[in-house]
Amino acid sequence: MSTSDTEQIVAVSNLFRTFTTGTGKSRRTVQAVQDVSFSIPRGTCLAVVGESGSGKTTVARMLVGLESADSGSIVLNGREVSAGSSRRIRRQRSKDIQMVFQDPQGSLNRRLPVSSAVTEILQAHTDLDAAARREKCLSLFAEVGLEPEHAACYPDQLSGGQKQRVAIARALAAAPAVIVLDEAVSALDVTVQAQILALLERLRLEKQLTYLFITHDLAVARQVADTVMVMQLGSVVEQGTAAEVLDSPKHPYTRQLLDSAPRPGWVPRRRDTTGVTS
Amino acid sequence: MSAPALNRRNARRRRSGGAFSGPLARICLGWLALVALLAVLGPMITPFDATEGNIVDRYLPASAEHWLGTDQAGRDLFTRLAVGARSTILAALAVAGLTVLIGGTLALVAVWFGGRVDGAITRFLDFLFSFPNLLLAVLAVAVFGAGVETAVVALAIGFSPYTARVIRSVALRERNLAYVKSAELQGISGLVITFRHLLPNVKQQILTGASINFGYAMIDLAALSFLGFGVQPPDADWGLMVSSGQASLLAGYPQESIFAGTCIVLTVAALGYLGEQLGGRRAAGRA
Amino acid sequence: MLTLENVGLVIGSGSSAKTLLEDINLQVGPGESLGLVGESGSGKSMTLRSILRTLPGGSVPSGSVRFRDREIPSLSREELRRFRAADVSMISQNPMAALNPVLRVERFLIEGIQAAKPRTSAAEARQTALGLLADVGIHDPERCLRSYPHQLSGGMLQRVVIAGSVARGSSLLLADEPTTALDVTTQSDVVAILNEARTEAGMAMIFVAHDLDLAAAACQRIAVMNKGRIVEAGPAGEVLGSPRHEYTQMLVASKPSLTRRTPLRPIPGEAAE
Repeated sequence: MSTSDTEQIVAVSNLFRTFTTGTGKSRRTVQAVQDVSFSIPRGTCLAVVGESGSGKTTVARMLVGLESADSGSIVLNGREVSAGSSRRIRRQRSKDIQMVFQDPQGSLNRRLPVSSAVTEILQAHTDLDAAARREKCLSLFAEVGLEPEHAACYPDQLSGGQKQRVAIARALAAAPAVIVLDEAVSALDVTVQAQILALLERLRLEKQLTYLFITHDLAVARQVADTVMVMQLGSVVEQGTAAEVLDSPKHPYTRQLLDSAPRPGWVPRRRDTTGVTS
Repeated sequence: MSAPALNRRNARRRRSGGAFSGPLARICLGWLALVALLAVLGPMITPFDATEGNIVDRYLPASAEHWLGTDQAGRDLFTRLAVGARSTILAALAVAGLTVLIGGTLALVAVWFGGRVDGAITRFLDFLFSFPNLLLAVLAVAVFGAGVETAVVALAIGFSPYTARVIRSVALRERNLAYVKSAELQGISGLVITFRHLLPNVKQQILTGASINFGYAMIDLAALSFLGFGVQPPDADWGLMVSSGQASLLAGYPQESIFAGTCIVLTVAALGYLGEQLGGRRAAGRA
Repeated sequence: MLTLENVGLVIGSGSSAKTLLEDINLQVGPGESLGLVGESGSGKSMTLRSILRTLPGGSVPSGSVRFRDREIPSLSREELRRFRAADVSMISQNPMAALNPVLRVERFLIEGIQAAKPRTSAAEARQTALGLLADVGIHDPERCLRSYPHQLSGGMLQRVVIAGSVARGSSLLLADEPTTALDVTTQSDVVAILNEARTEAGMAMIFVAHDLDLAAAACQRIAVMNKGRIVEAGPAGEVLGSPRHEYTQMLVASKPSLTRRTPLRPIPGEAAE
């Protein structure tokens, strides 16, 4: 991927973040993110893969402003946005970048009709009046494959896949250039997952969207990503095009991840690191 | 789209239907309605004055004129119960309302800001917890003087940690859900998110808590009046009536204490039962 | 060892009656493993609950569930308790649920061993427990025994639960998505260990999973469920390699490939899930 002829819409360099947990004697600091750098050309998808505790979600949260970085820089759409996570900064940033979360259940307020998730965003970001917001909401629903009838439904009345479509419509409402998808298809059944992946792909092509796709599933990464970044314990161990990383992995950890992924003909193996003779 | 339509109907039924069904619940509701009616209309339907009596008419038994008889000062007991209902219920309502306001605000502020703010508020609540409510109220009375206003404020402060703790735990769970994070990401202000998203989701806990607090408040207010720290004679108040009925009790006329005491017990029990139903329905709705 | 014949399950009555299971026929013998694959709501967990007789209230089961020569639906309360305690082990998605959070791991294992062999002394049982933990790939069994559940990772806990099923000498293992909450590298470990334990102890296993590939790797035979029915069953390799039923074909096609980027075709009627 040459960088000269494509605009880098996201450019992150030397990001660090530590967390402290506990108090007193049990106080510990954890290096959640360590010297992470990457960039994403406009209209492409970067998949960040890793296991729990790899720091992939923290990177996503820092990008959208839910978490602030200890040091490092984040350039979004040509603007430096790294410092802080105040409300004003988030508001500014939310026009460039939006997020879709993993849990379809928690993504929506169960006491409000699902359309309010979208109209709330429109109210925050546009000057549209109530009727125009409704109009826009229905057109966003149509874009993500929902029917107008769904607008009046409560979250309990929709399936997991439909709820995730609403969450995608909400992310699109602010017309961002970048969408962060944090394990957005992980909680879905495989047939529904395939539909949502197809939807995301269509939207990306239609709207020239840029995705940062956080996933633990390498097969999903293979389907959606142009580039792949593998994280382990807060650090990037390998990054490159999807084909480079997933077809001919260089780092042993990437190889281990690939070996562990169930696929036709796969034989589950115990790791040597467990070091046990039975 | 018949499935969502059907679901919606079920959801509506769940929301409205069977709120307080069952004979006991209906009796409780009926009693509370009666008390409320007395509190509102009481003074209008009896010709007597609640505070002025004729000493000649003391200790009259129940009759067509004096429905429940009279007390040692010759005042009509029914009138005093009706007027007393008003002050007793208003004071208890004030305690319940103020408790929700103080406890709820503390809880939501703690949840929204989290971290150090949460820690400080939680510690402050623990500190309040360590005081018995009545002691707190008696202390307040000692400092600010006897009177129903002091008693109400002191009890509300004493009750607020219980309410705050419940609301905090529910709101905290909600705070961490993705939809709240998502709204936060848009730069929507914490106040708006709290009112639009957090508050409606803790409404049920607030209502249940308030109805139970209301009952406790009645008992504690009655106790304070009984001790002479709350409502002052000759005003009518149920707790005060139990206390002023003591002398009559010894003289062989127990009506005043018994009637007032029964009113307190029945009202508290009815509220407690209904509050429990409310909480139970909530739990069933979650499952 | 375990045979299910024409098992059905209906919840509700009259016009609101809903069929959860219909015409389920399964068989597992000693040392055999059967994978039950399906999406959420397909009835795979309900099938397990039919075997354990832990059905939701208001549901009406039908058909026959036979373990050895006993009919599970007609067991008395006491017989059912003994069946659940001695013959079956359950491994769930959340291993925390199987362990008492305030007791050390050793209590869990020692109790299990003593329940199976009442004459064992505590010291002997402890020795056996150490061996079992080593078998399930825990490096420092001594330390693990002395730990409380919250001090162990999900993968470690799942191993402890597996060791527990071996310790109790159960002959039937019901595993309900045992690796769904685990990382992929840990999942691979746990599945391998589960299979070793099963073959060595000669247990029969039913492995519930939503991932066809995972079930195929963990089990000899596979049954694919959809909407309360078994739509296809057979040897794992055959079902995965040449699925006959339309639904199985869709499952196989929906699973993203690890080795190539498959064109994600838009599925007609996207929102109609």
